[in-house]
Amino acid sequence: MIVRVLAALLALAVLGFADTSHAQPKTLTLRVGDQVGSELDYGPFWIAVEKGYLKEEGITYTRKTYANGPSTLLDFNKGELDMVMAGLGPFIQAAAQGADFVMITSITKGNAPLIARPEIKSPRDLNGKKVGSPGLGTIQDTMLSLYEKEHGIKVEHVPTKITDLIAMLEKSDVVAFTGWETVAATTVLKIKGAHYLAPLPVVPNAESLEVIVSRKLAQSDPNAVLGLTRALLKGMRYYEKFEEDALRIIAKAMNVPDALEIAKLAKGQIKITDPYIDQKSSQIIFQTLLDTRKILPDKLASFDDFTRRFVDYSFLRKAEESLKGWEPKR
Amino acid sequence: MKIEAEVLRIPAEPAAPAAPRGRRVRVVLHNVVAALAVIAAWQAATLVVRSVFFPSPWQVMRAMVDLALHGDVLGNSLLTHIDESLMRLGSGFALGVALGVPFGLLMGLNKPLYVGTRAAIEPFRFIPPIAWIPLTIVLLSGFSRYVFLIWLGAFFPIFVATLVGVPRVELIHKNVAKVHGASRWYILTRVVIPSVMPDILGGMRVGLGTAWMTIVAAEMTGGETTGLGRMMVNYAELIRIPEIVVGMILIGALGFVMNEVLLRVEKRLFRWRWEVTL
Repeated sequence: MIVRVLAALLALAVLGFADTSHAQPKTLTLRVGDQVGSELDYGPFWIAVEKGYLKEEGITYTRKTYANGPSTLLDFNKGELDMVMAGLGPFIQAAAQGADFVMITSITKGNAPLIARPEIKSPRDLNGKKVGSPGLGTIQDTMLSLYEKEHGIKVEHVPTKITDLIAMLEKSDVVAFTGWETVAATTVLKIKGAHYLAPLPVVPNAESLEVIVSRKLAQSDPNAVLGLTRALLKGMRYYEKFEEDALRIIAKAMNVPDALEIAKLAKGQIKITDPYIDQKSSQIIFQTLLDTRKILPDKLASFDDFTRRFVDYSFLRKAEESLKGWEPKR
Repeated sequence: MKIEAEVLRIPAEPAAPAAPRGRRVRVVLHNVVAALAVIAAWQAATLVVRSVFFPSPWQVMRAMVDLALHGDVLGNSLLTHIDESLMRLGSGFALGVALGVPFGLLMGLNKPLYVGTRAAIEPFRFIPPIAWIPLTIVLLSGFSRYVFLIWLGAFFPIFVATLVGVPRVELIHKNVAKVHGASRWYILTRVVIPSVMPDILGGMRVGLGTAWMTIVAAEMTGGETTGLGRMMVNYAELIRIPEIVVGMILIGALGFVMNEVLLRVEKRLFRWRWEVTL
């Protein structure tokens, strides 16, 4: 009797240690870098997290936030991050300095509103004044340069941390600033008289934010990168179909008071449903970076050169193919 | 009673002999060789590290020349950045000396006052100046923000050096002055302050280092467009490392020159002091 019991226990133990790897998908933990206050801008990612799209692909994540895109890329270049969501400008600048990465999808268009104090009523009022930006290397600073060119004005760029811009605007250290949502919407709601002088960039459908992964990850685990792209695409489709619910999910990720009200105000300044890079605006952005001497042409000759070396749509096309007929469910 | 100055004048000790000219040339040569060795080690390091983000001495020099000739991406000249940083530093440092020395003397000469206020004053000494930056962004603007932060950095080393120097004034010097009827003001200005001067200057040199660290950190957080710290952050955002290193070298060079000036002042004022050597 004892022998039978022991045999049964032994059999159970053997079954317990049996290889079950085929039953559970391999989980990849992505080290993700993005910026403070940018949950709406990267809405598809947060929707993918909340709706379980990332989990379905066997992906979990750890998140590190930075002051702006260039700061994020400094850590990425050291190998501290696998995936970065940041502006096109910083990515071009990094590439021009020899950084390497694979750009898998665009995630945001627009997203460079100009917020001004109540006494600033037109672009002309900005001429000769101090205008804040979240950093010299950000896409928003580049958009500010384009705004100056468009309106024939010259302002003094005051680069500083995005979180300090609100206080500086209130104290009139700057008369206006360009930044990303939802910081801009927060400012409009918090500071009396602050308003959107220019809700959208001067370039139509202006490219803003993209998603990159390390080339090492793209080469060693392309299935994971494909899974990530599928999850992001699902997030975009969810936002497109169920905007209200998507904003609620994003507000939860923001985790600040009045998040939903802020998100609803901010959504008018961004577009987060188009995964393809807008070529026309990107060419303009590239040229502006050259004109303002933010990049030098020796390592990166043109935007076409950048696209050829760093943009890889193969993951996006495979993701679209695999998601044909897929409809998001609430 | 008026004191005869001759009674209280301490006979001057022979001044420490100046270094012979040959030795000065040798010292300069040794320093040049040491600097070249540092540059050679740096170049060797770039061959080992082999990263696009670790610039060589040559790349940094090219960046320095480019900055000197064409200015930065915002059109500000290198001289403008240096000028702005020095102005902020000079103002804050001067305020640190102007307040640190009198406060140190007051507290040093009035022990009950120091003991009675220590709990209120001392904790501020341990708060790093850069920890004040968020508060200064909301409360202060522009130049005043930097002056306040640098004053914080410079004040405490000077204050503490003065404070601890006062009790070390030779008692016999004070007693001799008292015996001859010297007033308090006379003792303060002719005995205490000259005795404490070496400590004050030592504190100033430490305060200068802290002031430089503070100004760079303060400029890095933004709000202005000029200054060496700001320039470095701007180029960090553009991931242009040679220009960042240019900023670092300039800060080091300027700090070195200012320290040398203080050393020369110290040597001139206290040439009666002999160096102890083994």
